[in-house]
Formats: sequence, structure tokens, C-alpha cells
Amino acid sequence: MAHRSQEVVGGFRLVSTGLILACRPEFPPSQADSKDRKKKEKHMNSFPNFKATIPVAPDSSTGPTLRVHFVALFSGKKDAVPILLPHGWPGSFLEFLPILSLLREKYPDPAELPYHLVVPSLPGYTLSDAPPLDRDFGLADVAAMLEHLMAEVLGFPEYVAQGGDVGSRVVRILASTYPKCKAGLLNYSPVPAPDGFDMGRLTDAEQGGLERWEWFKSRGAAYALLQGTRPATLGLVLSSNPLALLAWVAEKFLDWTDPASFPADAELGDGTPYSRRLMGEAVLSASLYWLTGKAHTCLYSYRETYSLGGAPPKSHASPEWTIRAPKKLGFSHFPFELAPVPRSWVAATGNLVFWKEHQKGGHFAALEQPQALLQDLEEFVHRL
Amino acid sequence: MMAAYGTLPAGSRTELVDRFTIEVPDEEIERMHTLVKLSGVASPSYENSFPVEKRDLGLSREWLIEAKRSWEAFDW
Repeated sequence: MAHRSQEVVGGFRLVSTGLILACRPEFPPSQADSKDRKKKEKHMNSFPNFKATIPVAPDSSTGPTLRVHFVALFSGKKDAVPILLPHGWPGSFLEFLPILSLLREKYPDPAELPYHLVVPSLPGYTLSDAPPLDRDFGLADVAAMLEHLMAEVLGFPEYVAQGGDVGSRVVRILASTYPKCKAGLLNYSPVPAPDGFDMGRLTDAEQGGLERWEWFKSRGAAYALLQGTRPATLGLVLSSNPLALLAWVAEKFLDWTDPASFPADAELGDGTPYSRRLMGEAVLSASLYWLTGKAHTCLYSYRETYSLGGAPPKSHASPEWTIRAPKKLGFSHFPFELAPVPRSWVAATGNLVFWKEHQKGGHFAALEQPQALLQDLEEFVHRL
Repeated sequence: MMAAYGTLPAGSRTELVDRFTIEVPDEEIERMHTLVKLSGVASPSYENSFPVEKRDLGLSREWLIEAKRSWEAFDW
């Protein structure tokens, strides 16, 4: 049990250590103790949480539905701009809570908040239901369901979307396919050089970004192929033991973030420095996936990343994912992103009206640099 | 009574949306803590013994040992 009060801990010291568990009922948590417990859950609940009933195939009037969890900050303003914030893997809705906290501080009166923020848990992830058992399910389904959430359930005539990682793929589909999704701000868009691009023109910073992408492709991306090709086996492994799950996701928290976002403040047993806060984020994420039993139901999108079954892989460079005018594309560039590509590469994939380069931050930009990403989001929305 | 920022927009289909509170039962948290505590960590190997900042072969064993320790005392 975590964070016992001094009184209870003091009581435990009176008994031999082997009897602590047996003695627990005689030391119920004091009032102060229960106030200090479940602080993370209380923080999550300090934001309005909802569940909506969404058809798996919103086009058909019959068929199964899923309960989709979302956190929201709804404005009282008539002209508030709705913004959808889909997360990635192994992230969750938690990634966006720092941005929601900043917005609560900046606009303490809901009547003044210029936006409606909607942070869904993607189907299959943490607090949302898992996809159906009797059919394959993919990001086109996710996009259709989130469009239904925004346009039909919440009744927004139009909206903006922002995302990285798997969330960036969802935003691509929404902004390229659905008329009501007017614009997408991405912080992840791994795309190749456009035809005729002169590699000799790269700046040192751009060259550094492409080297990081090379490292990711050659040394860091096998997890995605595994999640694409052996999700059943991997899912059984991850759901068998919480420490196994933590090892699998923690590697990504360590590899994919900018060390400047999580400066080392402690030492491991071998004397090497590490960040306690980053470790805490990885443990919290693994706990959320473990406690909701969803480590194995959120791997479906990776099949689409590879040419499985002969279908061409879906990527940010796919012509059908181009975000064409009058739709608008924005991009927040963080140096420790997994694929930090030059501006002209992203510009070849849509009507790029906003581009911002940051000095700090990586793949978990919303978690790492919430202030910077929020500023980009507000500037992007004001430009629409 | 809706908390601040929790009032659904005017055009919402309220019959399809419910307020939700995250409430993980104590037993579930305790079960997770027990499993974490009982979980083994692999013995040292060439691959898992690099310092945590050198991860070309994957996660550092020392990092996982420390994370396990912090998870055992983790407050949800």
C-alpha cells in the first residue's frame, strides 16, 4: 500500500515484518491517509470525463456500438472552436492533461475559454471499449467513430484536430476525408523527400533530424513490425505481467523523449543518471494500461503501417492522406521527434499554413513541452 | 451538477453521453502491486548491462530494477 500516514506506519513498526499483511485490518486508513491516496486518479477526475455510445460503423443504422471515453473542457462561448486531440501509443488521454491544465489556468472562467477541447481514448485503448471480436478494425474506423463523436454526438458543425504518433494518422484521415474537420496540426509526419529535393541543401539541423530518423528505422522500429505482424502473441505476453508491460513501453518513453524535457535528477544502482519524473510517467502509463486490461487491444493500427496482405501501406505520404486546400495543415517540429523531417517534405503533403520549429522536445510533445504545443495550437487556430 | 467545463455543448445528443468517474477498486491496485512485487528481473547480461542512456540493444536492467522499486510504492 502506498503513502500510509505516519500513524499507520508507526503501528506497523510495532509488529514483526512478516505480520504486516495480517495486521492490516486493524489499521484502517486514517482520514488524512485516504486524502493523500489515489492522487493521480483524483487529478484525472478533476477534468470532466465522459463516455459516449458510438456505432462501430457510423454509416449503418444497425450494428454494434462501443463506449468511447473522453476527457473534455467545454466552453460556454457560442463561437468556441472545437478541437479534437487524439493520442498515440503507448500514450493515452493522459498525454494531453498538461495542456488542459494550462488552459484551465489561462481561462479560469469556462465562459471565456475560446475552444472546446475533446481528448478521446481511442477505441481499444485504456478506458474505451475494445474493438469487436468478429471483424478487423483499423484507423479508418477510429476516424469514422471520432467524426461521429464530434459531428453527431457533440453536434459541432466543424472542428480542428491535433495529434502525434497514432493520433497524427487519425488526424490525417479526418482532415483529408471528412468535410467538417477543417484543419489538422501535426507533430509527427514521417514522409520521404519530395521528388527533385536536393539533399545537398540540408541544414545541419535538418541533417541531424534525418540521422535520428535513420537511427529509429534501423535500431528502434522493430517494435512496430512486431505489433503489426504478431499482435496476438505480443498481446498475450504484455497482458501476463505488469513488469513485462512496463519494460515494453518504458523503452519508448526513454528513447522517444528529449533528455532536456526530463533532466536527470537521481542515480541508478550502477551510478548512471536518470529522470524520476520520466520513470513516473512510464509507470503511470503502464499502470493505466494494466488496470484497464487493454495492453493487447490497442495494437491494431500497426498492421496498416506495413504491406500486409498485399494492400499498399498507409502512410503520411499516401496521396489519399494529403490535406488539400481549403483544408489547412500545420506542423509543430520538435528536434527529438522520431522522424524530424524538413519543412518542404511536410509541405508536399498538404496545404501547409503553419510551421513552427522548437529547440526542445520529442515524440511525446504534449507531455514534454505542453506550453510550446499549446502556443502552436492557439496560433494555428487563430490563423484559420 | 456539472463541474466547470463539463456542460455539454448546446447541440449535443445528451442521451448518448454520460459523465464518467475513474474509480479503480482498491483490490485491483493491490493485485497490481502484488504482481509487480513478485515479478522477477532478468539477471545481468551483456545486452541489458549498458548504462541507461545507451539503449541500442534495449532497456537497461538497472532502470527496470529502480522502476520496479518505485512501482511497488506507486500511488494510483
